[in-house]
Amino acid sequence: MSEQPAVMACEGVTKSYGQGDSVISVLRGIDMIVHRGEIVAVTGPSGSGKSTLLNILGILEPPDSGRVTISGTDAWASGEARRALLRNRNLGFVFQFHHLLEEFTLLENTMLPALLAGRSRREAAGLAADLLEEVSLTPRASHFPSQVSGGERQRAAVARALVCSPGVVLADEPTGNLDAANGGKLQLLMRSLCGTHGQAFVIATHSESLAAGADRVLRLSEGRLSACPV
Amino acid sequence: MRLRLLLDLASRQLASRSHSGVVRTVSVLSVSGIAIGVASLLLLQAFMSGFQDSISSFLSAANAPLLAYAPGSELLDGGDADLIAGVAASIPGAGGISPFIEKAAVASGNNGEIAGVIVRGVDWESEYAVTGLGGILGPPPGGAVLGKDLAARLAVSEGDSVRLASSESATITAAGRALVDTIISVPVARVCDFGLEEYNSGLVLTERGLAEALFDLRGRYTAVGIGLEPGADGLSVAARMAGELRDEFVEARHDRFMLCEAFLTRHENLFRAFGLERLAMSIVLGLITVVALLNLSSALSMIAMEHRRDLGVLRAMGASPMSVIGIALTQGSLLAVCGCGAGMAFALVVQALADTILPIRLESSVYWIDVLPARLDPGFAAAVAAFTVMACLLASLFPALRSLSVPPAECVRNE
Ligand SMILES: Nc1ncnc2c1ncn2[C@@H]1O[C@H](COP(=O)(O)OP(=O)(O)OP(=O)(O)O)[C@@H](O)[C@H]1O
Ligand SMILES: [Mg+2]
Repeated sequence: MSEQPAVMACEGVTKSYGQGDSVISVLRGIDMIVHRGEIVAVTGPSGSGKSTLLNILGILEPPDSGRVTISGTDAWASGEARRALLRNRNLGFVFQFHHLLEEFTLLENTMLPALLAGRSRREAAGLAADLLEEVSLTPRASHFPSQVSGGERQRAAVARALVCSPGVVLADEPTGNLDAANGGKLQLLMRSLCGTHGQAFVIATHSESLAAGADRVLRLSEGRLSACPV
Repeated sequence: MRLRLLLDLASRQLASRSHSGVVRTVSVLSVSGIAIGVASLLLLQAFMSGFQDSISSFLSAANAPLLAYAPGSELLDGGDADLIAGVAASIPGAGGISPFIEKAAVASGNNGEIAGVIVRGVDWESEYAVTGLGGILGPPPGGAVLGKDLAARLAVSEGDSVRLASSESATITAAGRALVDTIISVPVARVCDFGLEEYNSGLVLTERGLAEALFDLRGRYTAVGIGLEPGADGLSVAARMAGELRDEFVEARHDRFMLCEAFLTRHENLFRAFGLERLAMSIVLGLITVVALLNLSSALSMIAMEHRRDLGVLRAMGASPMSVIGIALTQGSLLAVCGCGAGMAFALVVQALADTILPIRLESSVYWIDVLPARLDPGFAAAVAAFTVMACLLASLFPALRSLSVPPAECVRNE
């Protein structure tokens, strides 16, 4: 794996929250490299900073210090417009709760990143329909998020994360509120998508089984990252 | 971001049924607020100008736009009229002249009623040239013209005759009794609606010779009406006329005064009162509109709050800051366009109704005219619309800027 180019990396990332006496240091110097096509699981107890790390890797939040590079670009060295472009072209997000837009159908939700990338409606619809097919949601494409089950929503969220063929998909507890069966399905899905599309996945999870399916497992505790034997 | 996507995102957020329908309700309410504000401003303007314009147009139709007269009710003669005609001819914008006699008299008709009237004796041809009377009366009448209310009061109609008595040449005897010595009977040629209560209930128009006989004023006039060329400004022409007349009369020949003023300035106080009333009402309604806009801005803030997470998700998917601002501005302009559109449509409908099947009746003895017309001014409407749209855009900008000031992670964190 290590000969593959890095699609995402961070160096010396620290992050703390709060002010004065109540400062909590969540991340205390994180170095991490994600290669093309690998699945990395980040585990750790609740409150250990997994979501914080994913947000920083996804340049949704600036680190207090350290560098985040996406496909070789230092994300915080340039402006918000450039970061928006980086997120659109290189990153996909699957949030713990699906975070689909309620006012749009599953197909439209899946199309959104492609439309934001400036693709035509027809092109975006084609891409989205293919992905919904892959996650077995074709019959649900014209339904609104409120009309489908939790597992279906999460699968739609995965399809949405993939529509622009990003280098990395960041998934924060994607199975967190799914039952074991749906969780297992989602895991298989991500694994197969990783194979067919060559995306890297960074998955924050409590789930032993989800972590077990990863190429690498990293453990976050006390604000530091350590490799775990798989 | 493409326009279609922008419109889609903006409009679906506004019409959002989620969040228990609050967003949709708030959108509808704020649009209604703006519509009401806009409609009331436009209707205020429409009815106030309708009222003012119709009074001034009725006033101007029956009178020459400029009047020359000597102060202190001094009478004018043919020589004065010629001088005035000469001065008018030398001033650009001033038209022909029409000397006339206008004095109070008493009229009686068929039922024994007696009414105080103003008798105006004119030369029809020159009077038609300087006033709009031709439009009201048609071809020059061969007798007296009475206002419709006056005719009703005296119970006369066309073909009857009225008696006019002048108190001018009354003599007072030792017993203190007034003896009226001139009574003239004239056929009623027309009964006419002048549009204004003042004229309808008290004006008698006759041939000038008859007024001369009635008031014993052979070859003399009480004032001279002066016409105005189309497009000329009455006030400035009147001012120039006044200056020239002073030179002509005081300094050069007669050693007396001759004044000239625009007819409508005689009613200056009325129009000033209109102006004041309009200003006060505009301020009140302008404030209503401002309140509606404040309401809109809080609605937009609320909509942005409700969709905070969605905005975070959009930014995570790569929506640029400009797109986020674009969504907000699109929302602001959608609300503004709906609000302004509804307000204008409402105002237009009310105007159309008032002009056709549902005229607004006024008590003419109080308000001078009996139907209140509406005159929407497109320029004013455009100004109100422009102001509303600008304010809506501003109001929508602030929540967007605020949501951009926090990193997207804040918005997508699980609550
Ligand atoms: N915006 C914030 N302001 C203050 N504290 C925060 C903020 N975001 C996170 N924290 C704190 O940082 C710590 C790490 O939070 P984070 O959400 O990253 O943990 P996590 O590992 O994802 O936990 P979980 O497994 O429960 O999701 C927590 O103690 C949390 O209280
Ligand atoms: Mg978390």
